[in-house]
Amino acid sequence: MKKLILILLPATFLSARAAQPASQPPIDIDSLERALSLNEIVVTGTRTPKLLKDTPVQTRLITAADIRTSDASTILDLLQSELPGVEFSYAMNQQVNMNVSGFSGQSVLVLVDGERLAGETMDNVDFSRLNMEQVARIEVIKGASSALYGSSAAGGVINIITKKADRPWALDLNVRGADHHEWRYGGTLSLSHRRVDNILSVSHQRISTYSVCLDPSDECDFRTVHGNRTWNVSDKFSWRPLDGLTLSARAGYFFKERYYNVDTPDRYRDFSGGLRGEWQISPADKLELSYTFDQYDKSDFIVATGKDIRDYRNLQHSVRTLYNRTLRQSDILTVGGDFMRDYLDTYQFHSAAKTQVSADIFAQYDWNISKAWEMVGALRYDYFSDGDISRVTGKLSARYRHNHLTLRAGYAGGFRAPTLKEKYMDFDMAGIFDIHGNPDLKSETSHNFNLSAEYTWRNYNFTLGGGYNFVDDKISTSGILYGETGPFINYINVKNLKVATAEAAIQARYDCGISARLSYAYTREETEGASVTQYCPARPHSLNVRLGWAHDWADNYSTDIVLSGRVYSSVSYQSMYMYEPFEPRCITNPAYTLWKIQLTQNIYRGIHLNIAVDNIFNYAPKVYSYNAPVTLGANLMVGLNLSLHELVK
Amino acid sequence: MKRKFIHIAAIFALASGLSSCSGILDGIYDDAQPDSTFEEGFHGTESATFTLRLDATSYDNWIYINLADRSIERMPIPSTLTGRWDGRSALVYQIVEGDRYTELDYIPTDTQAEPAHWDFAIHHFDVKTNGAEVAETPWSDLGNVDKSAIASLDFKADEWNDHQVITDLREMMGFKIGYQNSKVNPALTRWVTMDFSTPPPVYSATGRVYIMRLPSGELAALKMRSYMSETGTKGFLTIDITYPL
Repeated sequence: MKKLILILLPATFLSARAAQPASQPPIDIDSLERALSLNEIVVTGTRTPKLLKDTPVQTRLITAADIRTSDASTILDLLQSELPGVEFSYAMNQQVNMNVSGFSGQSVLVLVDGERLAGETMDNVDFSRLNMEQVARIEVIKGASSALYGSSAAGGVINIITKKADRPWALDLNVRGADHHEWRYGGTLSLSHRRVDNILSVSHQRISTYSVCLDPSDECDFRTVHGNRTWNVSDKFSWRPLDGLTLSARAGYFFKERYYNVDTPDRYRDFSGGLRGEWQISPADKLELSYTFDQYDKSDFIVATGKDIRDYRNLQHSVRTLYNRTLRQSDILTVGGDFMRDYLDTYQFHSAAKTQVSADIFAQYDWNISKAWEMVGALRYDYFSDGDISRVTGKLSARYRHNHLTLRAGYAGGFRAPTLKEKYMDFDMAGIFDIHGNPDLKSETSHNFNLSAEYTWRNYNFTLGGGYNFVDDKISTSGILYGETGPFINYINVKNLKVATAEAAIQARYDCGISARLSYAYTREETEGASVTQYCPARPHSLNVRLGWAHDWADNYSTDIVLSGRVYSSVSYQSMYMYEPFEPRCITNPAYTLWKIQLTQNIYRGIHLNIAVDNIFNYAPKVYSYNAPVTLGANLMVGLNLSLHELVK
Repeated sequence: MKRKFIHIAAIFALASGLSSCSGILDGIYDDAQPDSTFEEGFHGTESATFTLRLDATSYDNWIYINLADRSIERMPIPSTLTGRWDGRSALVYQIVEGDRYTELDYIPTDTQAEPAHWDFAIHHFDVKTNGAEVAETPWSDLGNVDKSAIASLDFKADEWNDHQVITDLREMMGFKIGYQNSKVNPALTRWVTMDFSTPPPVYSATGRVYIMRLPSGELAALKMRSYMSETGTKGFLTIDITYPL
């Protein structure tokens, strides 16, 4: 009943506002679209800049304002609080697994400024290396995007767009503290002078180890949340030697130490760098060329000997090019290609390090048929040297707009080539069982069909959409098998996975500073044949709510209050007992809801004091399953952001 | 104009050359001796404080230690019953849920073989003694042992236990564990714990000095300096011992 009330409250609130008299002055659609973020620029759906309201590819955008008022300390917090259908859970060894509407981390491509990230653990990139300090906005495409982004984009793309220096100087400093000795410190210094810009971000985060599942008789997947500390440093330098030509260089360093075993903490490091050139050859022609280096290392620090022993390295060198030509005033032809050398040296191989190169070419035509109609079609050819794998994928998207209504429909192909780890792994899992790679794995392929409608009326924006995904030869792991050398797990292809999704969202904003957003996602997964669940499956229903009120009390004092919540339904699925006779069993993870209230006080424009209470209804799971929320109850968070450039204005 | 483009091309070429094919900054890591070079045995025995290094990675045997002779002998854990049962030697399969143990199988076996002379024995991190008693101390360094305080320590004798000496971990993911029903010393076995309630196992060491009182009345002080190899493989033990104390 409590959940029902929580769900109905925002809806009732919206209805009440909608029922206000029609005698109000006419709404300025441009300003409304601005308020609803519809005039924000997005790039991920077509690899060309487009207004959010115009892009033919349904794009979920997390804006700078959303980030500022979310109190999220990590990308995980941010995605879960802003997008329904996104859930982060634990996999074994308390590694993080992402699920985006049924697709786990191996099938959702995470990019930073369009560049891939090296390294993975349990098939997911290391989300903690994504530095919140440098995030300007996040664009999310659900559904296959392999025709533009290649392998691993069968379930969608999350593209993190980083900040740019846009004023002569700016210095932001922040500190935030919460329970379990969780602290975050960060700072960003940006400088811009004539043709040169530089932006430097530094952040440090740490949290202590703490216990959950305090009753030893409760069956929990984990009883300890292992502490860690991270450092993130990134720098981006830009130079415009000529009008229309921008050269940029970036470098980054990431370090994480995790205390799973206190005598041998796990260490993770990443060294990245890149060069990019963007040349606006003419008003109709633009050329981009980039080179990226990304090295992700894992090591064990042996406390007793003081030795830091590296046992994993993934190194990626990538060269990319992209050319856009505007035709017939508004059509855009995009062609491009990528080359990547992927090197993997891991403790999970018995053999020497493995290397493969991959290359691709793609072309896209964005056809602005009329003011109402726009269509985008793309084809891409990918080649992987290991196993001589090649694949052609395509996509076709259409957008139709009539007054305040926008309809979008599309087909997108997806695929994922087996990784070096999945093909060549040969790992003794602590003497329990072996994990064997499979050199004969086929590429995972998918077909995604999607449809959505968006309606903007007065102060409101309504979105309704759905998609259907056919996935074949999904790369997964078998159950436990027995061979001559004992029990083992094998990588296999799973036939005929189907994922149906639906989404609905309502958002509203008012001049008085009140805003509201209610978004719901439905996910249904179906498998045939082998049905071992590799990681926690998607919860069928999820709902995100956000109510905000911003008010200027005086010239130098304003407040923002945000109430946000997420509601996840229960999920039931078949798993196997991991001992003989390996019979299937039904697991049910219960529904839960978490709510957070945050007050931000903005003083003299440059001082922002945040006080937030997370999990205000003091929810604590009875059983800490891998996809239970990691909370012991209400958690007070206090933070301070200083924008020194604003204070000295 | 042309010169600027040459500069730009040079920057890309330079950046490409900066990073090698197998990575950069290898110097920040240390080299580890491979496990195959681990030198088992007694080291530094010319003094009363010496070091014992053992490869106890296997779950299949007990390693018997004779302090006086400085000798090491392995004895396999029996898995079958070939003769008359002694009434308690067995392999016991249990489902382990938190601190609850549910017995699945009880397989009687032959009696564990032992050498003629031994003081204590090690199985992975488990320890049993030949009639000795052991106390955990508050000290973390053999040099800090206060002999006058030893008499007040809480010495514990060995006890029979059917959920400590692991013999079969193959189904750990299902929390089905095979144990040997065996004597263990509850004090000394605590020096390293392996918690597999949420696999993979979490290891922790007390870092304490333990005092062993042999049946003869002699004392020995033991400290687990390391329970892993240089590469991090658990079960390679480095134990500092003062004997006689």
